[in-house]
Amino acid sequence: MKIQKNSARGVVIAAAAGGLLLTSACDVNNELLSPQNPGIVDQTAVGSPVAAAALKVGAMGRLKYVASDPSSAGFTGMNVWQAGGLMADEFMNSDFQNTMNDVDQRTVSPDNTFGNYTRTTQVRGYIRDAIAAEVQFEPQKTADIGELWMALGFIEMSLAENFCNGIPLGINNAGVVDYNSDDFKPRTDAEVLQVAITHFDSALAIVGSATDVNSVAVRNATLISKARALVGLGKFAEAANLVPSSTIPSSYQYLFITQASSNGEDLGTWTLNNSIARVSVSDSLVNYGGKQFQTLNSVPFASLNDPRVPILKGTDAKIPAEDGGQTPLFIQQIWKGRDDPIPMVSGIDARLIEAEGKLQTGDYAAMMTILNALRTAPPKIGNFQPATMTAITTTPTTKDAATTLFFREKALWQFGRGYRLSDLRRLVRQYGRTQDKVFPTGSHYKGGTYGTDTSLPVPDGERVNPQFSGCIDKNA
Amino acid sequence: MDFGRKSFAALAAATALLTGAARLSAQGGTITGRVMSAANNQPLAEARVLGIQTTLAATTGEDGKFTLRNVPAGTVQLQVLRVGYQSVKQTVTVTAGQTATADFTMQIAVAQLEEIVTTATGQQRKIELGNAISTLGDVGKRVETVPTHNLSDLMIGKSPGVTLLPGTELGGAPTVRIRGVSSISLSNAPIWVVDGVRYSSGSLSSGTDVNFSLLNSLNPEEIEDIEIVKGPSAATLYGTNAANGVVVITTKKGRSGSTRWNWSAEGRTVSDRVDYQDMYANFGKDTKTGVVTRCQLATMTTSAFAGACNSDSVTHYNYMKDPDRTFVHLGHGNLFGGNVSGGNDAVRFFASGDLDNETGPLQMQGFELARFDSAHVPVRDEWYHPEAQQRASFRGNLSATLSPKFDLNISTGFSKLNNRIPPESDLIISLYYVGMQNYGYKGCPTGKFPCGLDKDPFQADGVPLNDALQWSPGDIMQVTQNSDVQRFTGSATGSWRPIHWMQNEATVGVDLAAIDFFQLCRLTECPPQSATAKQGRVTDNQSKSRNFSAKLASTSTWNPLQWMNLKTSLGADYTNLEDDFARTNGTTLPPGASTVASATTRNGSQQQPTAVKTLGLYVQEQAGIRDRLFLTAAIRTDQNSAFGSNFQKVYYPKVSTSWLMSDESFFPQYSWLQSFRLRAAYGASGVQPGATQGLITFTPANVALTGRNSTAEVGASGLTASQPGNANLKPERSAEFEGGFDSQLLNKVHLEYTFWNKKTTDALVNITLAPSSAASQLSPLLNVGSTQGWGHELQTNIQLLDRRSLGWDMTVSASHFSNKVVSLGSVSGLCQTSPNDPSITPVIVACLRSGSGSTSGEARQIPGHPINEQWYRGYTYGDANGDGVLQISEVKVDSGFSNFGYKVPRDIISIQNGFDLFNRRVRVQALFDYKGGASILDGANNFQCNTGPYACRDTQDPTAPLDRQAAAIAKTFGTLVGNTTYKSSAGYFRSNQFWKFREFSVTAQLPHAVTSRLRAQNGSSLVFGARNLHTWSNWTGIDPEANYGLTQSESQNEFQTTGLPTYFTLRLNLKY
Repeated sequence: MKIQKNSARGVVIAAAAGGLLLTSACDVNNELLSPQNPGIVDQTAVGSPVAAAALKVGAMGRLKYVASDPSSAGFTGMNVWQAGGLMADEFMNSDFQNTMNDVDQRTVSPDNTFGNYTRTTQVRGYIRDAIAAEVQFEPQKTADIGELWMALGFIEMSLAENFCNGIPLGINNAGVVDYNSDDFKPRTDAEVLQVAITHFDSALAIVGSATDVNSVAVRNATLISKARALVGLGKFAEAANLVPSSTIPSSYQYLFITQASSNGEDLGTWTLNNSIARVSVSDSLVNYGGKQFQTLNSVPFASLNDPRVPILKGTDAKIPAEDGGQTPLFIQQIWKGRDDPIPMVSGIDARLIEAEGKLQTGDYAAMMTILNALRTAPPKIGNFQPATMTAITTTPTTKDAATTLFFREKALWQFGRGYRLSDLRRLVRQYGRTQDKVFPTGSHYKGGTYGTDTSLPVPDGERVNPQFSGCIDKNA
Repeated sequence: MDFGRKSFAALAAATALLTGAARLSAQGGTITGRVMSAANNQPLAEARVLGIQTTLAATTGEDGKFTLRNVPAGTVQLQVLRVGYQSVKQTVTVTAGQTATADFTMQIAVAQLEEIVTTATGQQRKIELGNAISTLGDVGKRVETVPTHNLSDLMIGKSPGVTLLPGTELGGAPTVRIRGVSSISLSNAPIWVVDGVRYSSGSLSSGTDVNFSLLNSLNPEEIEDIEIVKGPSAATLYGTNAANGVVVITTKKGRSGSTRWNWSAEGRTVSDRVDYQDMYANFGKDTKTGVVTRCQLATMTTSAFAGACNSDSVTHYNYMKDPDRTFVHLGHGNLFGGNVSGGNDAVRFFASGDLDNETGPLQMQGFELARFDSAHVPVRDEWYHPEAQQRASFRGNLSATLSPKFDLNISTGFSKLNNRIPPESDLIISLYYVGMQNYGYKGCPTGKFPCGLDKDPFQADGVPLNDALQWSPGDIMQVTQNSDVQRFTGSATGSWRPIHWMQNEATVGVDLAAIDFFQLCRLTECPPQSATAKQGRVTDNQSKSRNFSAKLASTSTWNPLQWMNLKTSLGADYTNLEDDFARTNGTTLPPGASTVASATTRNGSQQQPTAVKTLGLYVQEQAGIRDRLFLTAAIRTDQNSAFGSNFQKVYYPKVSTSWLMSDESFFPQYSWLQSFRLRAAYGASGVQPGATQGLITFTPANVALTGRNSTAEVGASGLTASQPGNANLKPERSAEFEGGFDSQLLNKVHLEYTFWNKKTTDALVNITLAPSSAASQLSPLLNVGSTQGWGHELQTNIQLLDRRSLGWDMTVSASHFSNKVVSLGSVSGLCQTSPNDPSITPVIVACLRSGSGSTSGEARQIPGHPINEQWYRGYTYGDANGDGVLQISEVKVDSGFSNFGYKVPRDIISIQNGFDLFNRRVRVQALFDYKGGASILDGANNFQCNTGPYACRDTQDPTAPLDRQAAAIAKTFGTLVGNTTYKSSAGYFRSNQFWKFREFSVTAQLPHAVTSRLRAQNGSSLVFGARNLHTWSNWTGIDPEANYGLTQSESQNEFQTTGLPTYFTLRLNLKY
């Protein structure tokens, strides 16, 4: 065949023109392929004082995960305060999920899915990010930096109080992890408390003696938190000395504020108990499936009608327990609203630390003075004002009786605030009681019997850390 | 980096080079002709007429006529192809400026060897391809003769190697997997292309656990052809994201000839024929207190358990089948549609409109209607019939021959899909939950709580439950849920043939979808499942999907030697897939209000918009030797916006060969073997990571601060790190070899066999980091793994009888696949290689686990084991005392996990029979299909036996088989070792193999007397059809095919949902 040069030329010109048009009309790489994801906040947005402040706000928001409800999804959304309360005697399982029931029964397999462990320990990273940014861009904001150090210590203390011995406190560098680092070595709860105390000390050091209202608030919260960690280490006198009423008034509260109009910010206790009824406030007697079950050692929170833990019975609440209405539902009324504030620490906590100091020294009368002062002039718990109670007129004469009385009062004052599991563990560890005389024991209303766990296990998900091979022990 | 600039320049230069180097023809001539069927001497429409070794192509019109213009002077060999007919060839001599005539007569055949398929470079003869491509040709005829309401109905059981799990709900999303799964952490779904445009096929979250599919907005009535490109060896030129296969859909086009009208009307019934199981109540007395109580088999005689029980009697009850109680009734539907097509050689058109309505089997019970009536609450239709769907679809396609050298095809489709989603399959408020999980007895002897054993006759707010559990069905039906989709898909394709040996094709198109999910409980409506539920709540989620596709392809052919034809293709394509999503919800509504704006508390969040863009360039060279041996080599390179910043482009090569050996002179001639073709192909393709997974990102949040001053700092703007980014992120790369043969035997049998082996490297894996690392992203995506899959596919078409009075044809498809994790890499410090379960040392458990380990199974990725293999704790049991009832102590649950195998069906078989009766005026078709080789969780029994009121047979009926009792004990009570209770759901992870009578239809051509009275034409028909008639299976749950909860880990599950409905249809097709 013969080549038609004119046609060929035309095609060449057309193709070349098309190619030129395509290549010159736009920068292909940038115009056609750039991600152009306007919803993304990328690294160009951080690196300024404003961004540092935002990272601080974000980290403190995540700190609330110990008490708030990011998912409303049952056990995996259950915060660490509630999980501890479920294993202790504050709450009982009214859900259908095995994962919930195993915690309630104190027989938790470490391959249980513990969203609360992951969320809690992950907060440490957000706080470290914020500290680094604040130190770089806003070093003058000592109250803010101190508050972040306090938050880091508080998270670590929460881990130690609720989880078994064997908690790694790892770090990462922009997502890169070095598992050979000593940070990934599992630590005992006491060691973790000691780490928390060093961070509380960092907070106190940077806040110093500043007298502005923010610094005072942060210093008070840090002092109470450090004292609480010291109590966990058995340093009762040192703890009590940190929080005298002259420093920390009984009315003081450092509150977790949730926000109904913000997704995932509901108070966890309200969600799981008041709203979707997956946990019920616990009682020592439970009528389940037509049978009566007695749980040994439990404070009968639901039937006590104590002014500090008001209860609404399930039928009045107009909602059934989530397990098809099988479990009797008792709903706490301290936090009636989804965004009622809950104290992270408070003056009540300070008084109880002082009272325990008296208990330890055998000064039961002084202990009773502190306890009765709270009863007769009850401070607020969040926005809830407990009714005035009469003083307890009988002063215990033995340490055993005083201990029982003190921890019962403490349980009622601090209901639902992440203290109870730690206190039961301390009764075993520091007061020499056996777990079967402290923790819920006996037949469980949903079948089987209570086990012997005294802490939440660090879950198997942590085993990707080669230095971790499970709890060192599950001792109290 | 100026990759794109250089590549386009190269493309232009290469095109110019080719063009300049090639020979050009003189002025051409024209060929016209007609194609007739030898069977009835009628014109054959839709036959494809091709000039062999040229780019010449035409399609016959209704009158069987075709025209080829611009044919170079000289000799050209024409070949005519049509589904269901043997191809024919004819040599024609063309003189410049003259018109030559070529008429053809075609014989009926079962062979499909000579079909035309749509490939990335354009239409090609199937014989030229080294790959197996399944074609569902003549879709229009299938839709007319078999009840077909969505793509699932159309595709299921039709193609070997394609696993399709249809959605069980009305409008539910099907799950489509081609040749199994290969990705550990990315989607294993194929991509869809409609008329050259990338078509969004994702699922819509409904707010319950039932997902709805965007695929349902495509009306089968509009489809002409579906081709399934099965793997990377065939999908190379589709580039990144095609590794899981490509489904190529072509919609109907107009044909030249007189204008033809087709009208269809269909009525159907929709019935739920699931054999719902009875629930049981074991009445007894507490041995200590004498109180009437529900005995549990496992603890009746265990004195250690409080309140051991003396059993008196056992009752059983089935709420779902009780006509006084059930909400399951007969649903119905109808379809009205029409299309018109016609035109001439210059302009052809196709236009259609269809309206399909369906109301599902769910219906409010009479006692609930009476309750609302007595309360003066008007019952809305969406409460009375909570399950419904309406689809309106319109299509207008235009084909124009603007000049002998230029054709233009315009394809436009609009659909409006409205789903009324029933509140079911949701754990909180589900119709099936409250009906299936009842107490095992009817009525309420004492009339107040507790009544009977343990029944609460009233909802928490005093509403009578009428034997339902927890929530009244009427209140549940008040939950109004709608999912609405409006969608436009359009494309324009220009085909320019400047010279007879060159064809250039350009396509641009868009797929635009606006999706709205709406959920509403007005004030005082819906169950009181939370403290705020009765205060009213509304959710309005709106999302938009915008796809833009552009494609350029140029194919040139030339004959360097007389016996050799070369075909060179250059191409470029660009896709931009954009999505955005806006979510709003509100609570506490005033009376009558139904909008978020009217809510007292309003939440709003905007999910980040995403955009994924791909620019690909390719070149392909194909050599055809004597039109019987075809060799193809190609390479494609892609750049993609989702790749990490350090990774710029990826190359995908491809080679294939197809050899029609039976046409060779040396090939032995056997009377029983009419044709034999060998084929083999190797090719690579990829799967891209998510749009933003390579980026460093932060999450914004408005949070209430901690109150250090006892004063809330509400609504402060915060940031937290979200993901650290991965600059080295690149696509997962799959390379596949496939080989096989096609043959024609005994003039009656067409047989195809394919073996394939696919290896995936750079597999993207969500590595798990230790939580203690406090990393912002604990499961970053890394290219660290590799996987392998392999399998066999067989398809045969047999014409068993071919008499004038009786015909019998059969199609059998079968496929089997296996896969395994090959490696999970060795990224130091990221992914541990020591076991995290002592029971399975020393294998690598790696970091990939999902699911709650205490009872549920978990998908583990272990080298040497199947992808997503399911692991459970095993258990043993024995009835030591021989009383027929197992106690807790008689079941021993292992502390370690064991592997329980695949979760996606591996063995797929389908058998389709067709009978032509009464001189082919009546055709009867029946399709049976099988799925097996895997197990899924019987989620309903797993749940019901483990939660209140514990009324499943396994826990209540002393005659229940021991294996079922053991399953319940292992799940509920487990075995205490030390202080850890080990439980297992393994007993409910059961084989779901089944045979299903999937389709049945009887198509009767309307007698001439009838058609003449209706003034209709021959071919008008009346069709009786049925779908999902019967299932044969040992499955203990509801439906072994349920794809409830199917996630990335392919965790097919079934949970208190329903099965596929049974359809009976009557359809009238009238042709004018």
